[in-house]
Amino acid sequence: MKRTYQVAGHLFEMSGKQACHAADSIQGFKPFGVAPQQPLFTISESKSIPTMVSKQYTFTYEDVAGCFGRTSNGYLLSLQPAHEEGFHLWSDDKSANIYATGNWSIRLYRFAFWVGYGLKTLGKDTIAIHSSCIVHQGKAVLFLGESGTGKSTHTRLWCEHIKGAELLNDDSPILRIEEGKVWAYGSPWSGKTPCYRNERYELIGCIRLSQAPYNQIKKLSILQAYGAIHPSCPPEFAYDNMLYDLVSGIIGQLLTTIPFYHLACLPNKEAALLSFDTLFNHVDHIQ
Amino acid sequence: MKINPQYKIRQIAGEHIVVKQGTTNVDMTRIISLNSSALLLYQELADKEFTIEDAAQVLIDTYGIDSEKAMTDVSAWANALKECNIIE
Repeated sequence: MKRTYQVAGHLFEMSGKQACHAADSIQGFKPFGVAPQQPLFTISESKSIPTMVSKQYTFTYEDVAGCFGRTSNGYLLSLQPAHEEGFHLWSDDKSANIYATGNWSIRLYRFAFWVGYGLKTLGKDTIAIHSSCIVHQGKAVLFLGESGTGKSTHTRLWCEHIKGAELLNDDSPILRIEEGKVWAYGSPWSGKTPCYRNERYELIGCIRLSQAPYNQIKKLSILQAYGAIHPSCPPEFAYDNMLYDLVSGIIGQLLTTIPFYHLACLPNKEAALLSFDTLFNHVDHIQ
Repeated sequence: MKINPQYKIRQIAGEHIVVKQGTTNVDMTRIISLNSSALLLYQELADKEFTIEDAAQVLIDTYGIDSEKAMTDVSAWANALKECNIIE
């Protein structure tokens, strides 16, 4: 039994009953299904969980304690809920296989699949960025910021006040660098907003948001832009030299190709118009 | 003094940036990028204990400048890194 999906141009296959049923139950995957083709990697169940040789990153979400790190020949993600069995996903450096097993609970495997996808596509100039992504006139803009800063609010204001603006993804659009251009893709992972669009748009700018009692936009230098994007990259991959080498390479290309801005703003219409004017009408603001 | 081994230089977008490996929620208001002499000092002195005189000697040996200038330059370099806790 198998299911094939294509996200950001990369094909992957869910192999075997367990993985397929899991994928079938994830709403976000539906628009990304394709006819069976040779995949970049596969995800299937295996009962032999490897040992974590080096813990690199621990985190929590809801009641789940997560741990990511190295095994002797790959990476391992373990998700341990407070009162249930855990779920584990692991990769093999030398093969295109990802394995998973344990408590097949959707809130665990949906996140684990995101990590697995990231592991196998980082090496292909592809990275998920924690952001809210708007598309307008055939182009994409990413809004970055800590959780709770107001990314979704700001993109909602765009949709309300800027004719033709639409949301591509509200939490984890995927960027891919192809022939010198940066493309923003919709993905099956969109946080709390069910916005799953199998589309891509050329990225024309990134804006980091912060809350302020006024609206002001500033263009960022390369160093400042690095500061803006670094915290929005997958935290799991920041602790491993090999993975972060790949992240840095992608960010480096991003920083030299795309303008970055910082918008200090109120949650109002004027803030949306300001960011829109800056990006689409090339209005010069504070440099 | 010693350079904190948790920091690593990464070449990103043509800049040599000092990155603390594995911290995403850091204070990003201070990001250090190294110019060529700052980079040279960093690479020569990483992984070892050194004094300000040791650092000055690196500049003297490489650029042939006098020791007073070297001391001024390395003091500025060391202070900048100390302010960001890169030199402990």
